[in-house]
Amino acid sequence: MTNRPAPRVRALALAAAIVIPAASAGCKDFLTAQNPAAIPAERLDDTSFFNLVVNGVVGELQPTWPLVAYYSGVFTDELRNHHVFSEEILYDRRDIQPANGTHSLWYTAMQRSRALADDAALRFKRILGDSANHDLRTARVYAYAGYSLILLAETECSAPLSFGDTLYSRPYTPAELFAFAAARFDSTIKIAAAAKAAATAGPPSTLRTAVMNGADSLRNLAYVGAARAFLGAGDKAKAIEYARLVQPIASNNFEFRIYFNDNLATSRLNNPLRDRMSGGAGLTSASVSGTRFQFLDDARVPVPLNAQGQPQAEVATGGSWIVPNSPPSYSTFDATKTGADFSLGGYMRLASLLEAQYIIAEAEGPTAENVAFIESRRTAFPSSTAAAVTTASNFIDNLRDQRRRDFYLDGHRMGDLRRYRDQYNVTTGIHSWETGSMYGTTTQFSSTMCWPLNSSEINNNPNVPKS
Amino acid sequence: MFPREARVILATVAITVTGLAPTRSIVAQATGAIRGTVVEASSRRPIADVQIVVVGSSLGALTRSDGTFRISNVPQGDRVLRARRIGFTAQDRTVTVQLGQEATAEFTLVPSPTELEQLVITGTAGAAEKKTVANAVSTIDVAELTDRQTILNMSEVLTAKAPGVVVQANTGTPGTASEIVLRGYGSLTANRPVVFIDGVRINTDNLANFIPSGAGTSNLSGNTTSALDMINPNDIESVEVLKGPAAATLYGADAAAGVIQIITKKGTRGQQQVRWNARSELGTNEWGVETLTNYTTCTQALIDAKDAAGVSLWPGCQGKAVGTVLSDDPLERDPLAMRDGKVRRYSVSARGGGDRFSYYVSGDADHEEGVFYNSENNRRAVRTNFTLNPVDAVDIALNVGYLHNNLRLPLGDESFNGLLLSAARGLPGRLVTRPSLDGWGSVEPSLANTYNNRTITDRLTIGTTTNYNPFSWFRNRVTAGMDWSSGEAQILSVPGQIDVPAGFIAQRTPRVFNYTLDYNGNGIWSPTHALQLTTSFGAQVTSQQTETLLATGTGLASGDQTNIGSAVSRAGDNSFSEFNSVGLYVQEQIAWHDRLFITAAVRGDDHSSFGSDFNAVYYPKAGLSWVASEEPALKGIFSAIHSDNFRLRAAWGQAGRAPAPYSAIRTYGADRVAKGTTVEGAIRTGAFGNPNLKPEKGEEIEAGLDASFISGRAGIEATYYNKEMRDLLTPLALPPSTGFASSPLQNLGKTRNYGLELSVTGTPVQLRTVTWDLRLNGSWNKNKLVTIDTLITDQSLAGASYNPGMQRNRVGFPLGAYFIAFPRKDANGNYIIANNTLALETTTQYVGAATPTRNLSLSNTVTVFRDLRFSALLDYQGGHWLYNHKEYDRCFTRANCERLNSGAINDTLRAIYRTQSFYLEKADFTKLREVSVSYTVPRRYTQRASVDAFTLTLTAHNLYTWTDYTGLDPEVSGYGANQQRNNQSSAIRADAYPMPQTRRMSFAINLTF
Repeated sequence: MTNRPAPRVRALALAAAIVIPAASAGCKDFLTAQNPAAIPAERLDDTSFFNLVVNGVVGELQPTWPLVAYYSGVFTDELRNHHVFSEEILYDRRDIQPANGTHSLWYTAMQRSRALADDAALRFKRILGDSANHDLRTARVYAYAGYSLILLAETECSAPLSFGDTLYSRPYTPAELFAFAAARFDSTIKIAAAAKAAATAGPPSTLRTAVMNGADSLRNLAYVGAARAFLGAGDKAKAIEYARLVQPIASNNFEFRIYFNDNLATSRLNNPLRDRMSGGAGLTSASVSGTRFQFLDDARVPVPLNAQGQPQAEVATGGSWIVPNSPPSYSTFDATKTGADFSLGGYMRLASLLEAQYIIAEAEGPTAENVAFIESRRTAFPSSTAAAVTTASNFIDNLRDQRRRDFYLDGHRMGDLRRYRDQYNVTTGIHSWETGSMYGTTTQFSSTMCWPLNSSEINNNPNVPKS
Repeated sequence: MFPREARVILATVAITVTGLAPTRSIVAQATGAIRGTVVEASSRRPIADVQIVVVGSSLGALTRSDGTFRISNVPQGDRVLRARRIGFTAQDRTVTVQLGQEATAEFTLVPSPTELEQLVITGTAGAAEKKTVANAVSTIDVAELTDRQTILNMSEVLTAKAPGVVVQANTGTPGTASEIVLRGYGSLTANRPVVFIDGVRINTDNLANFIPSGAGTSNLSGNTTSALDMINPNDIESVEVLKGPAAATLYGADAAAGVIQIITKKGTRGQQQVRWNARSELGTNEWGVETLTNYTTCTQALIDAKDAAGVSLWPGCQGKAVGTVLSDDPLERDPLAMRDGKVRRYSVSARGGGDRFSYYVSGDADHEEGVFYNSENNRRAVRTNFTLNPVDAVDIALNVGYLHNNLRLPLGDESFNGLLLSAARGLPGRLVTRPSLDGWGSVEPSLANTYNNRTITDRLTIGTTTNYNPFSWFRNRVTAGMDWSSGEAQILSVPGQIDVPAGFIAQRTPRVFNYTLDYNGNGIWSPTHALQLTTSFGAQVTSQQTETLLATGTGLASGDQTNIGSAVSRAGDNSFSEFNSVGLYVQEQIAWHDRLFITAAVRGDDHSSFGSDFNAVYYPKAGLSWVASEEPALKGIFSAIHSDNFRLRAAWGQAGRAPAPYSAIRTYGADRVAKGTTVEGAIRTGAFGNPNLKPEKGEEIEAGLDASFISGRAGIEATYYNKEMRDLLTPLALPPSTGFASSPLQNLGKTRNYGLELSVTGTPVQLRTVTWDLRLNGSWNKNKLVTIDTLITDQSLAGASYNPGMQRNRVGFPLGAYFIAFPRKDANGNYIIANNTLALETTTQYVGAATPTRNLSLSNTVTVFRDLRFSALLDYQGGHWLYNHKEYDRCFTRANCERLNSGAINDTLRAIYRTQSFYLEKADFTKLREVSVSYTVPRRYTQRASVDAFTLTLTAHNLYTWTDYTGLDPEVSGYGANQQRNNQSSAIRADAYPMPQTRRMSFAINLTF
């Protein structure tokens, strides 16, 4: 009898020895929550994820660019906005404050696009080592980083940039941002050249051809980008140098495109201008701006015409505004004055030989070749309101006039107006920032000509001055 | 679709209840019976639903509406009967039961404002007497409330019923949620209390409805919902509110914002007679505030304005003199705009019991229409509570509640096609594209009413609690339960309808599972007659899983075929999240002479949302409760001041708030990218994460007193509290230049809430014919952000785009307080005007809090001739401000507001009226929240029909509002909805076209058999 408790104690101890570790293990498992919707960060170092990473970089810039094109169009003189949200209306007034939530979205998108591209380049170099220097994936992400920097330089008053482990930086001036962009483009050019050289040395194959074509395309993209960056920074010689390197690839032309898809599952795949411009009731939010673009009578700024075939006066009732149709930079452009709607899918032009020619013309001045080029653009789309025949004396006016038509609503105008003012001191006329009352109202345009950092950047970056 | 398993469970319960519900005891050996009556001391008014128990046994009964009770099969001998009812002092009577005889026991209960013997839930095994609990516990007698008023949801149950419990309605749309905050906002991320029903933690998130903000499923702001409001108030016996960490320590890692315990109605063992109750309520919801009048001043420019075809753009101004003011009130004018929405409610319940079991079963059907034609909420609820007492030491309770909810929401808030926005933005006299749009800003009722946004939700809450008391000194309680809800939300726009004219359908099927497993043990040891030690220990496991499937289809060929498969473009998505938590506690309570109680406890928690580099967290508590009036040396003093009882209490404790699931992990997410004409996979940056993440920790000290005077005719409960939240879970937004568009949580900073809660009750008039009872609840709360990371000492609230920069978290000021830049003046003291608005200073200054700092409610009940009762509840909320975005939008964007179109307007006035900060207004208000009249037909007229009680009740809600606020309703906020949806930001408030609270009038008939 007296021995009975001992086996019980041993049994209890044995049970405890089994149960407690088992319970602990079970508890540990229980406290690990499943998360099927996310990829842990460390998995991205696996090279099998690299194509997804590149796609991610492309996927950031593609929806960002047309949105910035839209809002910079409203901010300049390309569009006016009928949105009901007061902070969207402030884009019209050029009164963008750091707390403007709408602006915050695009500022964040531009920065995210740039940062993911730079992060991808660093990751590829860290994981792949030297082979990253002749890998087109590295060249591509550098090019996209460059274009993201161009967006920032042309729209923002200044912008900080994180690099690697340095999360917080001081705000960089547009000139510095252009310089960073140019450096990215140089990396693209160098890596693409190396990739093409490596491919050329290899045996003929479909892959080799694809690499060689890809390298040519990326180099052209980088040449145009670098030329644009140097033009924006005021270095005309460099701008000409890079612009002249752009080579026609097919049909004696070169275009690098941003693609959209009409799949509604992910709105980021869609061309956002479709809903904002041609989307129909309740979504239309913009019309052609005032006198500067509404009556251009040019297929490059296509608007629905009235029954008499004339551009309609705006009627701001029930959504019946005169919204522009798809201009030349978009795949839905149909080369008529009435034009065709934007679509959810298709593509838009990011860089082109045409732009390189414009850069050369602007930087080089009225050479015979450049006068002929501008004149060819003047006559390319007959218009009763087009500029007079191009001569050396009216060359720059015609260039600017044709440029605003050829690059209507594709993200050039804001950089152009800033450049005209900063480098040419243009303060009046249709190529200056609008002043005075807005569209027959008593509301005055604000005097701002660039976008501020958003509140999140100001509040959360210790290296950004708070006042 | 309700799953087969649930149907089987319900059927089993129903069969069990039916089978085990004899009206006569099968045990009748050596027993007698006890019958008696319970009346209120002064008025002699019979008291219904008093719980009568035979002490030391499981026998008992509930009094009927005439105050009578009868208990059969009581073992013979001397028996102590105890009568308990919320609001009254418990009373004991000793009776001698003789074999086969019927003893009598009469109780005369005295109202007790302080209710020190009242049993409350503390988190340990078994209920504790309130006098032993060192912290304040607010108890709401919901059974009594629903008896005399029409109460539709939990928000109404809690509104103005207890000090320190602030309920802010987000809109007046039926089925939408309110914000419930206990003792002020303490967290930057989550301030919602956790809620238990009969010990089972339940989901209080939104119903996963599509936010009715227009354009398909895009989320701007908009009305949203809370699963808390799906609970049927008629099934609730009482609600207990633990308001802060000092009280909620034993609830652990998620209870820092407080705990709400919902106790449903139960039967009583030994009752032996079924009590049926049937209730029918009919009423209307009406637009309860002024409607909106729009104005146009005809100027020469408007008279002359024409379109390209030469058609006048302002036909209403044609033929009018310059300066003529046109006005229009489309909501009032258009008969298709609003209605008096019907309110219908039918409920039936039965409760009873035998020697070894008790039960409560109920069914409820509600139908509530809003004032807009596409606004309604329907609810069907069934509840079965069954308790079995197989042996004396064991009782097993099975509580099953099932609800089916069908909610239709109109487009709301700043939705372009919302009717309220359209009404407010109408331009009288303006050319419109169709006649029906005349006077409306963006959409007319005939189109707006076609918007179809429905959310159907089924909810099953099953809980079982087993009490096992093997010895008189040792008690155990195990609760296991599940709260399961499954919904189907749908938006349908057939081609041509207003929201998406091309046709659109979206369906979302959320499923939420909450599991609770809770063990508590109590050991009681009395080393001496005067000293009693109670050791409590326990463990809790909670888990929540949320799964959602979403499918959308855009471009429907016709309204005849509206399945997603027929849409031109289709998309699908799913989501999943979960959290799991484990907690352990131990508590020791020392009782000295049953009048001094000292409690100390510690709880440890681990949670799946803590960072991988952080382990468990521990929360201690301590408390002291001293019933001074029981102190022999002091009895004379308290007797001299006519104090029946007087208690002092003080408590200190900590509790936590776990981070949201996955907050600790850095992740990337899958995305897609257009590559040429194809779509390929891609990745995007996701959450930045924080592996060091730990819970925020609330620490609170409170002290107070409870006292009752003049035989319960007056009472006071007063509590001072000081609550600090440390290690705040702060979404520290990374600057966009980092590339992460996320705000990883950091444990930063501290908030403080301190204040006073006061509850005064009294019976100023106590005559045989007339009794006047009143209750005054008041609370004053001071809220402050004490410290925060240096990066964000002053940060505008994320997401507050209506009032950008106005609401800020700034150190030294209340969370989310309003700050504005004041107008600049020139050297002559005149305003500087730029762009037709006032030029402002570059810095902002504090204006006031965004949430009420003072709450006062006054409840009066007058009973005449026992049977006629009048009651009224006045609710005051004040000390706060609200941004009137609607009026700013009208004046700035539409220029149709009264200010700009009446009287002499000069440039300065025009500039003032166009300046956003002008529309920040004081939002103090007093509402006549509830008024009711109820009459109970004397029993002598009803007993022939075997009707125990027949009561008629007329109730009015939100009858009138006194306020200086110029918007429609100072109580509602378009952004509160966002807050509820995300369960994150504190106090984002903006009056951006939310639906005002409606006025509800209802008539109820209540029958008890």
